[in-house]
Formats: sequence, C-alpha cells, structure tokens
Amino acid sequence: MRTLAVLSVLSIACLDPDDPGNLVPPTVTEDASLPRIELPDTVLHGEQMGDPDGPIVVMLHGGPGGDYRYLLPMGALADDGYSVVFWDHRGAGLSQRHDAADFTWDVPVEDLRRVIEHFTTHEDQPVLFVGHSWGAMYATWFINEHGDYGGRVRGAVLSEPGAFTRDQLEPYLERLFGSMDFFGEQVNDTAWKDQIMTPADHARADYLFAITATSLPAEHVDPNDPEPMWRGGAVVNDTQLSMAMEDGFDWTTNLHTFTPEVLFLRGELNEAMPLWHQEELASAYPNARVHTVEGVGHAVIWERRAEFLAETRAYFNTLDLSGGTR
Amino acid sequence: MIGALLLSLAAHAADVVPWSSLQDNGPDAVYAVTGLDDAFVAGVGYRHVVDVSRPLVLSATADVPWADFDLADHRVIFAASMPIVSSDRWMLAGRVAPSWRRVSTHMNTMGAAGVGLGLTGGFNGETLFVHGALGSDVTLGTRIVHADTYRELVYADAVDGWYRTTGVRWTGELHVGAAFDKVEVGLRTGQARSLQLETGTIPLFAALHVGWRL
Repeated sequence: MRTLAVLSVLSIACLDPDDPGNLVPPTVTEDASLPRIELPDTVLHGEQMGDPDGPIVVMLHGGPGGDYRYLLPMGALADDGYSVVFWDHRGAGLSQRHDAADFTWDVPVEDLRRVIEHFTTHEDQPVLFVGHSWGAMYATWFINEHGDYGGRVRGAVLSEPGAFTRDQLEPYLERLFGSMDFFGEQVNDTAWKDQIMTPADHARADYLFAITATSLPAEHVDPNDPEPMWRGGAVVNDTQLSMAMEDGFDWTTNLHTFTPEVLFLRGELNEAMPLWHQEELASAYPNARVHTVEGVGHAVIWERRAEFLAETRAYFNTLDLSGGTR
Repeated sequence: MIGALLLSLAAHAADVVPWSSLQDNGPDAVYAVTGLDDAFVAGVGYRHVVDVSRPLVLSATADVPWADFDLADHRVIFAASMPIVSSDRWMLAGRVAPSWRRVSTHMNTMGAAGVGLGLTGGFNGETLFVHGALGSDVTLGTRIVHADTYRELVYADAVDGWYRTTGVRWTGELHVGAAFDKVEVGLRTGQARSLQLETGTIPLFAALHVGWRL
C-alpha cells in the first residue's frame, strides 16, 4: 500500500513528458494560433510572405524531419515581390504528427504539389524551389515526378543535396557517419540517454531527436552559430530514411526533361559533399551549374545567409518569370 | 553456493559473478567492470552477502562513460537479490535494483531515479557458469533541467522539473564466467529494448567483469 501511495504521489506531482508544451513545442493540432495549411488528410505548419500573386518561392527545409525556422532569413525575398512559402513537411516541425504507417512513397510529392496549389492565385503563376539538404532532394523528387509542372517550375536552388538515387545515398552516408568519433562525447551522450528516456510517445521521440540532433564532423558546421529549429520529427525522419534505404529510389529518370537552369549552392568545407559529389548530382540535370561558397560547410544557407540570399536573388533574376506579377 | 550464484543478479551494470568458491571466502567482494553498455563505460562495485533464511546478495555498482571522461554522466545501481528456486546446479532468482542515472549535455541535464526488476537463472558448474537474465528497467522520476542552448535553439518555454516514467526498457542478458580461487572473471552481453521493443543507439551491450573476493 505504501508503495502504491508513493507511486500515486509521483504520478500526480510529476510532469507528463508527453503533454504538449512540456518538452517540445505544441504543433498545429495543439496550438490554434500557429499559421497552418489545411490539406484533406493533414494539417501543415506553414505561412506565406510577400505578394501572393508574385512568383511562388517554395522553401524546402532539411531533414527529413527538420523544420523551416532556420530558413526564415530567406523571407527577405518577399521584399522583391516573390510569394515566399514556408512550410514544415508532413510530420515534421510544427506540422501535425503522423505515425510511421501514414508515410508512403506517394505522399511527400503530393503534399508538395498541394502546397503549391494552396498558394497559387492564378493558373500560370511561376514556381521556384529553394531546398536545403533533404529539401534539395525533395525538390528534385518533385521535378522528376512532375517535370516543370506544366511550365510553372522555372528554376531551383538546390543547396547541399545528399543523393538523388539509392546508389548515391549509401556512399554519402558513409562519408557523413564515417567522420564520427565513436569514442567521443557526441556518441557517448547520445547512447547514454537511452537508459533514461525511451521514445514511447511522439513527444518523447521528438525531444530525444532535438537534444541529440547535431551536425557531424564532415559537415563542418560552425558550433558557435548553430541552426535553430522548432521540433525534430523523429518518426518521419526514421521512416523516410528507412524507406529510402530499404526500397531504393531513383529521382533522376526524368530530370532530362527539365530545361531551366538549376543552381547548386554548396559549402566549400563539407567533406561529405565535396565538389565532385555535387557536380555528379548536378549532371543529372541538363542545365545546371554549381556555385561554391567558400569557408563554410553544410549550413551555408544559415551561416552565410546574406551571401546565400544574394546568390539566390542573382540567379532568380536570370530566369524567365513571366506570369508572375513582379 | 546459492548465495554466490545470486551475485550474478546484482544489477544492470555489473553483476557477473561465479558461484563455485564463494563458500570458501568471505561475504564481501569488490569488482571492476568495463565494456560497451549504453556507452563505453568503466566502473567499480562492491557486494555483500547476508544470510537471512536464504542468501540475500546486496551490491552497489557505479560506472561512468569514459569517452571525454566527465563525472556529470554517471550511473549508480543498488541491487538486492534472492533465490526463488534452486538445486545443486540450477537456480532461478529474483532481483530488485533501485538506480540513479544522470546525463548532462549542452542541451539539458537529466537525472533519473528508477528501479529494475528481473529474474536470472542458469547452470553453475564447478568453475564455469552460464546464466540468462530477463528484466525490466523503469525510470520512476526524471529531473530535467534545460540548458540555455536548448531554449535558444529549440524551445524557449520548455518546462524544467520532475517528469514521471520517461523510460521503460526490457533487458535480456547472457552471463558466462569462471572463478579461480579469489579471482572471478565474467562476460555479460545482451540487449535492452524499449517498451515498443526498439533497440537504442547501441543495439547490444557487452561488458567484462573482474572481481576479487575479500
């Protein structure tokens, strides 16, 4: 009885790790004040900045499972007359959580298509992608599926994509994780917490993801200027990586049909994505060029946001954006 | 004999102990452990056998990860074990093991009070022994304090305080070892899985145990 009493007191007095807002921020389904995009089968955290009739710039964050918080400096493109769309992918960031079974191969591209349509104000409104890391892979996946989407996709800034095919993904991950020090504090801390917290619930899984998500040495991220985030989507991260590794993928089969120039913007220092690697990925597009930002690694879009923004603006100015109201 | 066997039940961190010569020695022993067990760890322990109608084995084990050695990360496990059924060569015993675990990173500090419950059974030869162990490991309360880094980079309004039941794990282990006079050597290996049967960052554990009977 005494044990039961102690456990009851503990249960009442202690916080619940799974309650929204305790360890990780509430999502759109838990906080009605968050900006949102309502789709038939999910609610995404997202917002639009700038002229809604201007060329749509779809920002695509990294991950899978990251969020758009670190991309917000690119909102400055709204001052140029673009309709800049930020959104957290399905199950990621502050978007609605989903269980692993909800993620299938046809979902992500269709989500992106729906987001484009959600913010489309007129039929021939141009669309541009700015994707970082996983987001650059995501943009390529869409282009491979939909080409230029009826002439609407006029260009893409692809920053630091890891792979466009399963065969490219494995050696990339080897370079990335091969740089880890398995005897170092990073691995040690990640493993040691396993005995204290287990991912029994979405909130706990996301919390564990957030406190252990970190860059790897090969990426050469500046430890004094880390990227901010809202919530790591642990389930979507694990599920989509597993799907990619187990099922395989090839998002290059139709890229030859995409004729607009594609800009690859890479950080010079990233050893997991050296120049030859980005040139190899760029070669899947018929018209692509690789620009290297010196003295920075994988987080080029955050650590060199002014330079990244300037390169993006200059690139956009070379594109045919007729149909937009800029 | 039974008491010595029970020593193998002590705790999650280091409890591989032979039975064969325990009766010829005193009730106390000290031991050292090292291996891969939720990190690369090293630790020390002490055990004492009390005769209360049947042997009651008490132990305390403290270990720390040795990568970038830092006492802020540590684990202390107290254990009490007692036989349930036994014969000359075979035995099944139960274990209760209160614990304290702590991890401190640039994001947060988590200190967890928990308890492990388990059963260990197996064969005990003259010198060698082989045991299997099944158990659960539950964190009853975890004190979480968030660092400024977490508040700045992730979530400013994260709540500090005591959280209930942040983790539950099942453990399955295999112990093999031998004793030579006062010296005991053993290997403990196995797997810990979450309530949903998922493995952790390091899917297996394996630790070497070397003890000296006082």
